[in-house]
This record gives sequence, structure tokens and C-alpha cells, in this order.
Amino acid sequence: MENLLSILIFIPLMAALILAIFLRGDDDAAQRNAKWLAVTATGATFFMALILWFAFEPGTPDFQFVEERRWLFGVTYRVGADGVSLAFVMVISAFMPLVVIASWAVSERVRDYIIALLTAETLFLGAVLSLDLAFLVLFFEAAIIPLAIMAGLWGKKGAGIPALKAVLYATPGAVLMVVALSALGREAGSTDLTAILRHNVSTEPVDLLGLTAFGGSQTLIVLGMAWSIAVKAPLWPFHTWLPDLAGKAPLPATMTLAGLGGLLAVYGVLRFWLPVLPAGVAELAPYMMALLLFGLLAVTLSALVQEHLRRLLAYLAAAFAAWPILALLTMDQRGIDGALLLMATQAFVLGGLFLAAVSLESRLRSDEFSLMGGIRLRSPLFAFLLLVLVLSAFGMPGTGVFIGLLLSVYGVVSASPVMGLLLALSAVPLAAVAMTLYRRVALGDALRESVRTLPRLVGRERLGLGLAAAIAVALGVWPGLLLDRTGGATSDIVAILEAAR
Amino acid sequence: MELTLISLPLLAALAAGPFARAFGEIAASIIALLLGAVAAILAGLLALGAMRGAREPVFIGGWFESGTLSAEILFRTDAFALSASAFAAVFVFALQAVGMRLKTPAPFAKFGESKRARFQCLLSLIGFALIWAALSGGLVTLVAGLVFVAVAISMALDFNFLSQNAGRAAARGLLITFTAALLAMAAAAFVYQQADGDSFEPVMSLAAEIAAGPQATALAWGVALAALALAAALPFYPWSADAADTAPEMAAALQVLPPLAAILLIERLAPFSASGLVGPLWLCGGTALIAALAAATTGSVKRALGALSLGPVALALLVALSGAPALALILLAVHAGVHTLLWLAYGALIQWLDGDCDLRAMGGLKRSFPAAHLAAFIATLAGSGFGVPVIYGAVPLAMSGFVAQQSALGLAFAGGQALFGLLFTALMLQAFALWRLYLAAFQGALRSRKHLKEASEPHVAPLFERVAYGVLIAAAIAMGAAASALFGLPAASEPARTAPLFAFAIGLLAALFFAKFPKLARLPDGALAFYADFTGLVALYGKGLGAVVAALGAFFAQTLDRRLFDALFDPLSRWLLPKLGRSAGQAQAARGFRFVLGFLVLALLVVTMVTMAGG
Repeated sequence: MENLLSILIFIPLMAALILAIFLRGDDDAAQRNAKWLAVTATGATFFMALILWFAFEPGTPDFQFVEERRWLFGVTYRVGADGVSLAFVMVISAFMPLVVIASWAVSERVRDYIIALLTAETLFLGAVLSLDLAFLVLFFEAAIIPLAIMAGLWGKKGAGIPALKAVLYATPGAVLMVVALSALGREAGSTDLTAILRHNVSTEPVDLLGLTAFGGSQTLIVLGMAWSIAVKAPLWPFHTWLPDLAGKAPLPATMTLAGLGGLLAVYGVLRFWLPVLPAGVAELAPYMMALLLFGLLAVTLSALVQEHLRRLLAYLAAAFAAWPILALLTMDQRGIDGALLLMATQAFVLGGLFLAAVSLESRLRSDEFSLMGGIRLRSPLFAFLLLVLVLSAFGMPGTGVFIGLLLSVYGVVSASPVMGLLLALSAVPLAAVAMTLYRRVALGDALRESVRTLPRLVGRERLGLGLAAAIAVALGVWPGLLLDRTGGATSDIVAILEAAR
Repeated sequence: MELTLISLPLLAALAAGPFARAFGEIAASIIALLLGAVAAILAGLLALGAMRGAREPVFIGGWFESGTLSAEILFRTDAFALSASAFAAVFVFALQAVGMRLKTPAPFAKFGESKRARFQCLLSLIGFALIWAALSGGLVTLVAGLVFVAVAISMALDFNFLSQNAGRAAARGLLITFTAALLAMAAAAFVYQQADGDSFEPVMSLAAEIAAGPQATALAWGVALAALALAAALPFYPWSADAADTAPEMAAALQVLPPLAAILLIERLAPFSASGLVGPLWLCGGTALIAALAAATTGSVKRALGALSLGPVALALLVALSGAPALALILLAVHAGVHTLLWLAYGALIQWLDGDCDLRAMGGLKRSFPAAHLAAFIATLAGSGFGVPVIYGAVPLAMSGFVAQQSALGLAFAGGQALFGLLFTALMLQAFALWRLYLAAFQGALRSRKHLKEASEPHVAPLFERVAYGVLIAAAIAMGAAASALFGLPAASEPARTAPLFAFAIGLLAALFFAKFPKLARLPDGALAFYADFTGLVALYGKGLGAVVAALGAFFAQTLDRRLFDALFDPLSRWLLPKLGRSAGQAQAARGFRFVLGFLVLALLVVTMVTMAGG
């Protein structure tokens, strides 16, 4: 299919347009139509992604299904997929139906809500499939805007402040990202990503404001991109917008920001930092890894003292975000493979946990832990699926996180056994958070009054939670499902890294 | 065959876990039990076959590849691996059988909850993880097995899930055992990186070249600490105390099965750091001593049993670290038999006392609990090392504990007289603790006023309990005679040949003395309170660590996040928001939203159209 990638990217946007033009009113029928159109659009996108998955030729590092059109102002619309972007496309397109399931309880201005959601999906897909810097940066930086708007308008009273704070946090990052990518494009003499990937960016030390930047332009560009990546992930200390937002925003918006924001951050590192700027990353990697490990500890400790499920999940998402980036900074094949597995599994684990939070909150009308406990007795299926997700969160063997963590540790230990040990042990605080979550939600001295008559899971909730748990397990039992497709592209990145050494 | 052996407990766990409601409680438990029985028989047959001669490892298939790492599902078929898996399968089955007596409390039975099925499921999960780890032929699969064991232990600690304390215990247990498994992961990664291979077959041949100097010491400590934590030995004791607070059947499982994982870890990874193992050996010896001291001074039966479990486990780990993992397995098997007997016997008394574990509430129960008394007596004899250092024909006149202690002391003596002395003292105190427990609970006059009436009638143990007692008593006696012949135990050196008998005699005499003069026995309680209940350690993990986590968490979440990092953007957004029209009302904001969204959609539509039109 000649336009496969464009169709894939723009299906959600087309559906959003149909909603904007043809759907009027906000009665039950209109709401139902809007939701089912969202299901259809996200389902169709996933179907197209599956076609791409099976049509994709593994083992080659080249971009496939490339589309190139000259566009306005000398900019070229260029999209293509290699093994790396394919993995991200699959995760995004499989994740969004879960978000739609989580959004089923929305009952106000559903049309606008769905339009925002579908627009966000197009932006996420565009970011990981664009091969031109101009489009890439547009999609990359715009992706969180519809979600921030959703957060502000559909959230609880006072949601506007954290929503705006999220945008304010992202804005300097976006500016710096544009500057960094412009510098990269200027240095490479092209905005074409394939050309940039072949270009050797200067590593001559640069003097700036009296300081010498070892690694030259590479280091400066890495630093320029760092804010944007850190905010999207979100990484400590750029994470504070997420817990506040999670406390007020609709859970599906937070779920998307937490699940797919981290994914964009990983994509940024994998697409630019490692293959294009290896010397700059090598200069900064030890400091970044130390900061990431400390940050992981800080956010997990913060998570442990939360009294609200939403905030705990937000801190958990911030802890999750550190792992794949740490794995990538090992600059090793196993680390990169580990990061991809972590990224994919963690997205679904987070998605599943947010879905569980949606189910709980829609019944309890609160996310306070003090109202939960003993749910295991009332709803054993819910507790079982929650347990699978919780165990997946910190690396139970048989889940993708375990393989991802193991590969990351294997990757880093050759460079630094101490860092390998610290990376392995970083799973301990995550386990503490995950077990705390399970204990406070599912266990308890007795069934609390608030959960005694809690309605059991309905079909779509079972489907959503079951799918999330199943994917987390599938990636652990059969990691080749993902790694076989991404192998060609990651080997190419490793070859570049080795050449740079 | 090996794949079948691994699959059976997993199927049992599934039948008694997620599918328990579909099958019904009784059917699910019976299915799990039968699968456990088949696994035990199969594992036994495979182990016996392997003793005649090892086969080639069994290759099942590749798991995943990344760079130079190729993880394979490869099963070992040597005698040690299959004996370890047989040990796990048989012990799990024995406890599964005893666990059939468990009943669900009435208030929770109406929710369809089944304590019996849950027990079968959890035990089968631990069995699956242990057999997987025992048979794993590569570093990656070993680590996966050990991490699985850690998680399964945590889930088992949560057996009494209705108690918030059980949930906390599970979390605490997970943190300790999971940390251990992750230490093992880091050690395995280091070994892999040095040897450039995952499969044990070629990697083990490079053992001597893997690490030297500080690296060997670091690796040795990593492996030893991981093993101690997995086995709940000091200083990682608190989760063992939690384990002692659960049902006696589960407590027995948690005292015996995790140390097997520790021995498997040592057997595979310790050879890579042989030159750095001196320190860890002393740590194990010290653990045995402190555990025995604790058992000798505590007033709680459960705590005493928990501490009595630590000593033999530390001894087994010491032996494994000394390069004799097969002997460690035998020590553990003896420990398993003896301690299951002890748990069952004293568990019956605790149940009669409505869960009261205070030793002072017991006494004079010999006539009322004849089966439990016999079991406790035999277990105490075996555990305290009763035997005569004489061989009649090829059979030693000794019980299992004596033979096991003899071998362990012999190995310690080879390592130095100081270590030998330390272990001898530990064994002496252990014998004292065992006899003190026995004399205080079963001998003397009846002390419990509360249950005086019931205690005057003999309590008849159910048939399966008596069968379990019988099998274990037979094992406690037979293991002493058969262990040397079956497993070819090394001949003990001269001081070690008679040492267990001296330890036994001194321990028994001291216990009799303190039973005669109980006022004297109370003296050490106060002086050694720290050891008695590991008050310091439990408080450190429970309250101390909790307080530190809470303080740090509050510091990061409140002080740093809110006051420092948000110092710019929070006030800015509060200032900006009204100016952006949010305060003008929802409708206005909605219009603003539509404007922004419309702009985005239009912009992207233009992109689409231009794109599709070909530029």
C-alpha cells in the first residue's frame, strides 16, 4: 500500500473531523455515536498498524513504506518506518483503544473530548513516523496540547492550573527542542532524518560562556533536547506537573500523558541521541544515569507516602519513565532491546493500572486509599488482573519488564558492574510502590463498607484490563514478538555507537 | 520429562488459583494435590535415574536473543539438579497433603474464598519456581527462577490476606527476597559478561578465571548476601518472623523451601568467586550462633521454631559456600523433616491454645497430645544430634541430625578450628533450645487454666496428620542411616566425629537443669531480649525503615516537589490562568478550546490534503 503510513497517521484525525462536522448535540445518542466512532477509528488504526507489522520486512535497518511529498515553504512531508518506529506505532495504536475504554464514563461534551483524544493519537503517530525534522518537531511537541486541554476542561474543579502548569513546563522544552533540531538540521545540511542519521555531527570541544563543552555540538544538542524529553517522560525533577495533573484531570488524559508521554521521550533518545549524537551522550551518560537513579528513588519514595491512588500512579509513571532511559544510556544492544521491551510493557502496565483506577473511582466516587481495601473478596477477577499488572510493574519473570530489566543490567554491567548492581536494585523501590498499591486497594483487615456493595467489573473493563495484562505477559514469555522486528534497526544503531567509540 | 516435571506444579497452581472457582474448592484442591503427587513421583524417578549417571542437558528451545546474549530454555539433568528438584517436589507434595485440612473461616467462605485452594496454589507456585531454578541450565533462566521464587514467597506470606499485617509482611518479604534475587541478577550479569556465555556447561569450566581479588570478594559477598536474604538468615530475618506468624503448614514451607533457592544460587554462582568466600563463611557461622541463642531465650514457641530454623539453614549455607552443595541439600532435607515435625507438633498445641504461642501457657501436655508428643520428641532427638559415633556394618547408629551435623562440622574443621568452635557452640545452644522447648511444653505439670478441662482428654490427631508424622519420623531416623550410603557423605575428621554427641549431651543436660530450676532460666530473658525476639531488627525493618521512608517521601514530595521545583511554574500558572479566560466561565473556555482544537484540526487537514495530493 502506497500511502499506508499516511492512512495510519490520519485515520484518527479524519474521524475527529467527521465528528466535528457531522455530530451535533450532546444527548445520549450523540455521546454513544461519538464513543463508537472513537472505538472504530482507534480500532481501524490498530488494524492498519497490524497490516504494517506483517508487511514490514524485519532484519533490515532501512526505513520502509517511505512516503515523500514536497510541501509548502520548501518543507517536505516525509514519513517512513523502521524497526524502532514500528514498535512505537504498535504500542500507540494498541494503547489508544484502552484510553477509549477508560473514557466510557465521560458524559459531558463527549464530542469535543473524543476529538481531542483522536487528534492526540494522530500527533503521537506522526511523531514516531515522521522523517522530516519540521514535521517531527511539530508532532512531537504538539502531542500533549490536546491532552492538556482535555485535562483542563474535563477535569475536576481547579484542573486548569495543573493543566496550564504542564503546558508551561513543556514550553521551554519545546523552544529548546526546536533550537536544537534546527542546529542539527543546519549542521547536517538537511532536515531529512535519513540524511541526519548518516551525518557525523562535530565532536570538537566548544567554548561557551567560558565553559568548554566536551563532545562539541553533540553535547550541546543533547542538552538542548534534554528539557523536552525530561518533561515528556516525565523525569525527576521535571515530573511535578504530572501528580498535580493526575489529581485533577480526567484519568484517561493522565493515562495517555503518562503512558505515551514516556514513550515519546524514549523515542527522542533512541532516534536522535544514540545514533546521531553518540559522543555527546557518552559525555553526559554517567551524570544522567546517576541523576536518573536518584530521581527514581526520589519519586518512588514520594509515591509511598501518597494517600490518593491517582497521585501514586502519577509518581509510579515518573519512576517507570526512568528505566528505559537508563537502559538506553547503556549504549549497548542489550540495553536498547531492554529499553524497547520496558517501554512497550510499561505503557500497557500503566494503561491497565489507570483503567483499574477508572473502574474504582467510577464506583467509589473517590480515589482515597482510606476508602479502599478488601476489594479482593468483592471482585476476585479485578484483584487478580490488578495483581498481574502490579507484578508486571516491577519485573515478575514472565512479563516484559523482567526481560527489559535483565537486558538493561546485562547491557550496563560490561561498562560498570557497580552501575549494573544499582540498576538491578532500582527495581526494589518500584516493587515497594507496586505492592503498596495492591495492598491498599485489594487487601485489608476486612471488607470495607465502601466496597461491600461495589458493582463487579463490566465487559469492557474486563476486556481492557485483561488485554493490558495479557500484553504485559506476552512480551515476557515471547520477547521475540517485539525484538525480532526491531532487531535490524537496533543493530544499526549499535553499529553507529561502536563506530563512534 | 523435565518439561513435564516443571509444568505439573504450574498446572496445579493454575487449577487451584485462577480456575479454583470454576472447578469448585474441593475439586481444585484435589487436582492440585494429584498433580503434586505425580510431580513428586516423576521428580523422584528422575533423581534416582540421574544418580546412576548424568544425561546430556535437555534443550527445549531459544527464549530470546539480544546482541551476543542468547537465552535458551535448557534443563540440567545432573544428579544435584534433579535431587534438588525432587526435594522441592516431594516436600511441596507432603505439605499439600497436610494442607488439605485447612478450612476457610465462615464469614469469608460466602464470598467463594477457599483457604485450602489458595494454599495449594501458592505452594505449587513456589514448587514450580524452585524446580525451574533447580533445572535451569543457563544464567538467565536461573535468575528468572530465583526472582520468581522471591515473588512467590511474598505471595505466600500474604496467605492470611485478610490481615493488613499479612499484606505488610508480604511487602517486607518481597523487598528482602526480591533484593536478593536482584543481587543474583547483577552477579549473573557480571559472570555472563566475563565468560561471554549464558549456558552453564561452558561457563562453569571458566569458573576459576571469572573473578579475582576485589572482584571475587565483591561477587562472593553479593552471592552470599543474596543467599542469606533468600533463606531469611540474619540480618534478613524479619520476614522469617512474619512467616512464622502464618498458618503452621505455610510456615513450614516458608522455613524450608526458600533456603533451597539459596543453595541453588550458591551452587551455581559461588564457584566463580571461590577466593572471596572467607567472610561470608563466618557470617553464616555467626548467624547459626545468634539464631541458636535466640531460640534458647525466647518465650514464644513460634519465634523459637523460627529461630531454630535459622541455625540449620545457616549451617546448610555454610556447607554450600564451602563447596559442598550436595551435602547442603542433605542438611536441608534433614532440617525439612525435623522442622516440619516440630511445626506440626507444636502447631497442634498452638491451635489448642487458640493461637497463643506463649511457652508459659504450655506444660504437661504429654498425655493429652500423644501423637504430637511423639513427633516432637523424635524431632528433638534428631534435631539436637542424637547418635553414637559408631558404625554397625555400613550403617551408623545415629539419627539424621547427628550425621548431618557430623559432616558439616567436619567441613568447618577443615576451614579452621575457630570456625569449628563457633559451629560447635551454635549446635550446643540449638540442642539446648530444642530440649527446653520440649520439656517446657510436654513435661511437668499442666499450666494452662483456660484449657485445663480439654487438656485432660487425649487429643486424637486426624489420620492424615498421623500419616505425615509417621513418614517424617521414619525419615528422621532413616536419613541418619541411609544418608551416607545414598549420597556418599564424606568421612568426618576426628573432632567432628564425636562433636554432635557432646553438643547433644550438653544441650540436654542444660535444658534439664533449667527445667529443674526455672527461676534461673528466666534470667537470660531480660539480658538477651534483643536476640530473643530480634527486637532490634524487627523494629529496624518495621518501624525504623518505615519512618525513614515516610520522612524521605514527605521530603521529596512536599519540600522538593512543591516548594522547590514548583516554585516557578505553580505561581506562574496561577497568575496566568485567569488571564487566559478560565475564570470567565466554562462556556468561554469551551469556545477557546474549540478555537484551538479547530485550528489544530484544520492545520493537520491541510497537511493531509496537500500530502495526499502529492505536494
